[in-house]
Amino acid sequence: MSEQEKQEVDESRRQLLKIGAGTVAGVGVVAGAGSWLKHKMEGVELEAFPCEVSPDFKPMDQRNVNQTYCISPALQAKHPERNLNFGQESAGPIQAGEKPMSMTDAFHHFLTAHERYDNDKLGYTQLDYALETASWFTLMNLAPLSQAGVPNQGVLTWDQSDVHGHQYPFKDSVEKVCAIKTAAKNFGAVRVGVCRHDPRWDYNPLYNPLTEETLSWEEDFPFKPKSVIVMLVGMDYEATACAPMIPQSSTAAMGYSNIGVLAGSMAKFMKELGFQAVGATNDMGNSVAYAIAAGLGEGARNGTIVAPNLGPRVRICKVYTELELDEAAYDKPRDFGIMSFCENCKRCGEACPSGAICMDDKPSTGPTYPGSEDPLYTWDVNKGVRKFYSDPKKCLKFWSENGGDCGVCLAACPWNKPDFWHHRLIDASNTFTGGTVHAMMTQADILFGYGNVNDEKAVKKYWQSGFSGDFT
Amino acid sequence: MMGLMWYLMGMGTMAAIWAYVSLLGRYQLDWKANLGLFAAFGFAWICIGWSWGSFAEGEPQSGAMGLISFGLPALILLVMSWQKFILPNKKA
Repeated sequence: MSEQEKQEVDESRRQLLKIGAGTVAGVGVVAGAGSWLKHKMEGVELEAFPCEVSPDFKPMDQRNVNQTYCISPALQAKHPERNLNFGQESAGPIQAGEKPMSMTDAFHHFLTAHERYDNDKLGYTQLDYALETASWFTLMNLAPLSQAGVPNQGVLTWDQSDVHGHQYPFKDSVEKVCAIKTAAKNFGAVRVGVCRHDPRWDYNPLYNPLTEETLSWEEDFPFKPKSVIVMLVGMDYEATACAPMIPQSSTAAMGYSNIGVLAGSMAKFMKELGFQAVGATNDMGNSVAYAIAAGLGEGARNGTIVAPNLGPRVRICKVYTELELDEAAYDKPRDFGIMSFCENCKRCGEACPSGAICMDDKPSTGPTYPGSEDPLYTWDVNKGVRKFYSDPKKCLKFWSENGGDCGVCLAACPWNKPDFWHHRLIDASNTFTGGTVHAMMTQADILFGYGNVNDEKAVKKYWQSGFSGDFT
Repeated sequence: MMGLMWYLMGMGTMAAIWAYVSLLGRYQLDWKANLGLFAAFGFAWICIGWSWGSFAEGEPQSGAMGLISFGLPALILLVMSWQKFILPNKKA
């Protein structure tokens, strides 16, 4: 072999070595970064509830929940001032000489909106309202008005007479968790977590606005809960994109019907295993707090849970049960980087048609909106948890005027994305970036055309989304 | 739809590796050329994946923005690396 040929062989060996070393280094870097990202995206487990809770925090009295008040004639008679302190024009604390907006009338106007459909108004036609009414139909038969906080309804009964006399002999907590999570999947949950029962997040006392009974956990509730199973169902992306028009209300309604099925089925499953259980949708306690405690997501600026991959486009149900797990088997709250993103993104607040969402830079332990210093105005707010406080009265005013439950804050949220890989890429980057990058991501979201609201094209598109044929 | 995209991107990745090996035989690639090619490939890969995904999910504005935001840098990097760092280093 000549000297030149030897040099050529050496050169190609060197090249091969370089490529090999480069490939090994590349694979190592990608694998390392991948596992770190996976760890961040699955959420970093936290020891305690992620939001600061004031030492003087008290559980929410259900008689102060806005919708409970709107349904209850007895509470309205007891607190007539609550229907008089919100201004119709100013949409805030009532001004001198201003006409008040009655919460009760606004709520009933909202509930009867389907009777005032308009076939010339896109998104508010008989077709749209028919879908919404049909979507509520299942829940209204399974557990009527549980979505408005009415406890002990239908499949969400407190009656424990059908609990099996023999408790299934689970060999350990792992087997219990596996059984619960597999059953949840069978019932249609997209996420499930199990946390310890935490009285801080329960309504206490509870109140049934249909029977006008004040109920206590000690005397009226049938058992002492040890654990709470928290489950999420998803909502349709294309329907949510129609917000605030009625297809959005329909997917929210269907979400409620689905959680009614889910909570009722899970409660029955626990009873068949010999453990007392009661299912709940919006009744019994704060679903968002329980979902955070069960590690399913983080509390967002708009007051909803934001779950990884699903965003705020979910509905939450919970099942209170006497079944207990070993401490290590309970799900823990997790940091997904969502709350930190919310601090730098005000997209939901900017989009909110009623101005109900807090636009502060940092969360606080009480509301900061106009009127927040007046306890008579903030009767429907539970202070003491560090979060962003929305004004529920402003929200209800828009629901009433809109004739549907809005959902603009869900549609506008940058975490609200369909399940495509490139959104997971951005979600991944959001878990470890912060500050300016988060603000930049919000702007990029707008530039890329996501999060539009009041979009008539979305309604047309939605009503064709179930059919893949040729429309021409 | 997305399955087809991953299949074509897999084919594209293999083609890129083949082209790179072929380039190695004909040009002396220094670190700047390697970095330029790698970055161009990364941008092109994201461009195709992002745009295809966006059109598939029914978000054409995102698809178009993906073509501009990732496709353009890929093209610029590729041309620049070729002109500045690869072409002048042809093996004898």
